Amino acid sequence: MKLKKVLALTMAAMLTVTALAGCGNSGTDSPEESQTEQSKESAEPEESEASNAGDEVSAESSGEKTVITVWTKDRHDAEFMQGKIDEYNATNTDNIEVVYEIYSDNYSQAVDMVFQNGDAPDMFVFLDQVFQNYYNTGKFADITPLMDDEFKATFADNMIDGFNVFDGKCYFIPTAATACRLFYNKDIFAKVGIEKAPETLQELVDDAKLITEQLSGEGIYGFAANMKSAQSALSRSLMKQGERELGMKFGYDFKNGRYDFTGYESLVSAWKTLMSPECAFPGCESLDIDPLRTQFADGKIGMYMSFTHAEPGVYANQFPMEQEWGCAQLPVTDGKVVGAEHYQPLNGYLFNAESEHLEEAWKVYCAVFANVDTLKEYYENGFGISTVKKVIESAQPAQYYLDNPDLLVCDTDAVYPLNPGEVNVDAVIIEGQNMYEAMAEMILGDMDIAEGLQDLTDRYNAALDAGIAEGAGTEIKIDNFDPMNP
Amino acid sequence: MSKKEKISPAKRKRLIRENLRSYSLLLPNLILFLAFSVYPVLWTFKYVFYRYGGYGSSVPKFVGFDNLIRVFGDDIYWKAVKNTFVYAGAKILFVIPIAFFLALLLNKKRRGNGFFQSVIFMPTVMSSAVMGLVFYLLFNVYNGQINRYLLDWNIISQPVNWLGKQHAMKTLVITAIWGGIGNYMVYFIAGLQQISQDTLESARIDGANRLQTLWYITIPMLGPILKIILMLSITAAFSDMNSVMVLTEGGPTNATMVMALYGYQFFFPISAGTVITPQYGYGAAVSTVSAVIAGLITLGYLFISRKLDDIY
Repeated sequence: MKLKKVLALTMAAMLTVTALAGCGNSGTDSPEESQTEQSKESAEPEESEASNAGDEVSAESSGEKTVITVWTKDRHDAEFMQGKIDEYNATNTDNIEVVYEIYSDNYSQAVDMVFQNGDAPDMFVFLDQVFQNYYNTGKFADITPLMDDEFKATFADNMIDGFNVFDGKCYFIPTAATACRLFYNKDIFAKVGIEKAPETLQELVDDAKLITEQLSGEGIYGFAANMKSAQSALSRSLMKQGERELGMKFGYDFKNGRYDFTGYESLVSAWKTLMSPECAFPGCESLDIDPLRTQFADGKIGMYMSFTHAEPGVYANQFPMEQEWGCAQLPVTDGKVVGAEHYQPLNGYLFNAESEHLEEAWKVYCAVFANVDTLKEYYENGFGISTVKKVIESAQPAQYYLDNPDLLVCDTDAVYPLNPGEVNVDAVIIEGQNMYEAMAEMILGDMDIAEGLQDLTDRYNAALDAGIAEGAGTEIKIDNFDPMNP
Repeated sequence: MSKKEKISPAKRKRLIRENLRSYSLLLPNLILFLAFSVYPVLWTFKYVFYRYGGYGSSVPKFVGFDNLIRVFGDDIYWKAVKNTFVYAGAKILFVIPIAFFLALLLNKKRRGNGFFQSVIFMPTVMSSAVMGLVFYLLFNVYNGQINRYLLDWNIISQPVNWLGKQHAMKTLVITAIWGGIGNYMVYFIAGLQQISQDTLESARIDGANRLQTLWYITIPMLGPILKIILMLSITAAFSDMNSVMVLTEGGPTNATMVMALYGYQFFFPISAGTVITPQYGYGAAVSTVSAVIAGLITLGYLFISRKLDDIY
């Protein structure tokens, strides 16, 4: 009898686990994913109808719609984009049905999976690691032959050699961009008497100190960073400051064709002070970006660094902010800017080279994703910062872009060439800590800065040399490299 | 060796028929086991000897024992090993006695015991990722509830940075204890219910008090199940990773990095906004060495705990 009870208890526990696991799966689906599932479902009956009608009957002859699957990872514009797609689905005369699917954090893994099982979508949104990981493999279609003269003229500035164009072949067209900037709370600045956003590293540190010194009693601190993930924190801040201060991207010096982290010393030293109790919001070392944003929205943080495409929307919708925020260029030592900041092109779409419906996918792309009117509306609604000349010239940007012109991509932003590790994923295999983890240790006081930076330089160059020796890497040295116009 | 007994054709036929039935019932499980347990292990083991940046354009390159040699010289990995021992040791040290004590309390027939059993068991069915998030909200230094209560009760004068370098491991252990107690409590209740009431009754008639009954009868008779509970808790503690990933991602500066998470991050590096190439080969080497360490600990434990089987 007792055994039965124990068994019953165990079984009940197991059933609960199973049930909760089931709930968990559906619960983790974002509304967008659910929407996607619905879209999928709407497409599937037609497929089954077609198979009932007989597999040999071609889609066109049976009147079945051609389904074009599009993958994205963007959620902030989901409602807007889904609306445009629904409109296209309802009005297009080419008998095309677009299925728009949203993946979030698992996007690159999902792409890996479909490339393995041969079930890749017709189009998918550009992501650095996805593109760089696969463009050598012939998985992406060259879209140059599909472009007409008008398209080429409209997007001429968006075709960047060495970024989306290789050997005359264009693989995607970015239509928006994001850059990194310093975000600050204007009310806090006013409270402690700071009149303008810092331009030099020293001003940044001094302002952070001043805010913490005067307002920490009220729970307000000068500076914060989402150091829980060193990579996430430093790739949106210190590394970008490095581009402006040193003209190097991820520590790679294009002039000499070598890695050199030693120049980051003043930046890392300043960051060490910024992350000390003199300046930093408590608990930065375990802070994620969203908790940081909630605290900034709550008026507890004076300054932090992040991406321009995301933050305005966050403080308008996700974590509404009552106080006024501002945005400024990233401070550098003595305010001397020697290099452009590498801005991140966004909203490019890659085409599956093995798609049976490449031409139809291109039609969808031109009608929805590269449609100038749609792009204009997208920009005006503040979903992203347009980089299409024709759009910028005719659009009325969202109010927060007008209030904070530094949110926009400007003359001191540019796209750097790919470094050897980006050109070939096997070219620079680092042993030991990567640059972000090592710099985080220096910033949090666990490693000597000068020694740590020298060690990073040595290890990255050793990995580069090994990659070149093995034939995976190539030396990328640009003699007349101008970091202001990379 | 004696010669095999001759089996009559009829008996042979019956045996084959019976075995066929058994094997056909086992087959689905066997296929799943081979596909989802054995194959991944073999796949991982293969890549121990390769340098491979994962799916895409990376080309696997045979590097012999290079990855294993690198593991032995990797200071962060050995820091993760040390952290794993601290984490596992602390977790087991607290979770087993607490679970046993709760099992003793809740084993008796008493009104409301079922409710308390369910409440204590509840964390076991919660996703460890969700658990991590909840604990982050409770423990964060700037508006966490734990600091608020401790300050209100005048236990501390300054907020404690529970997720900072100094205290992050303690916070992880607290999370793990909270998440693990219910599970082991159920095992203990199962064990306690197997102990014959007659034996306990006899001890009491012989004049043994509650403490003596517990020490001389209950605990020794729990020997076999205690052995299993300890083994399960050791293997679970050595492979725990999810709550660490959510709560601290192994930080700050690797202060809470554990073996399993260290291996995982080479397969799935966090690389938003930048490109960090996965290192499947090195990740496989780290995971293999970690599995060997956990295996050796378990074997050592099984060797030491042989006596637990012999008691009754």
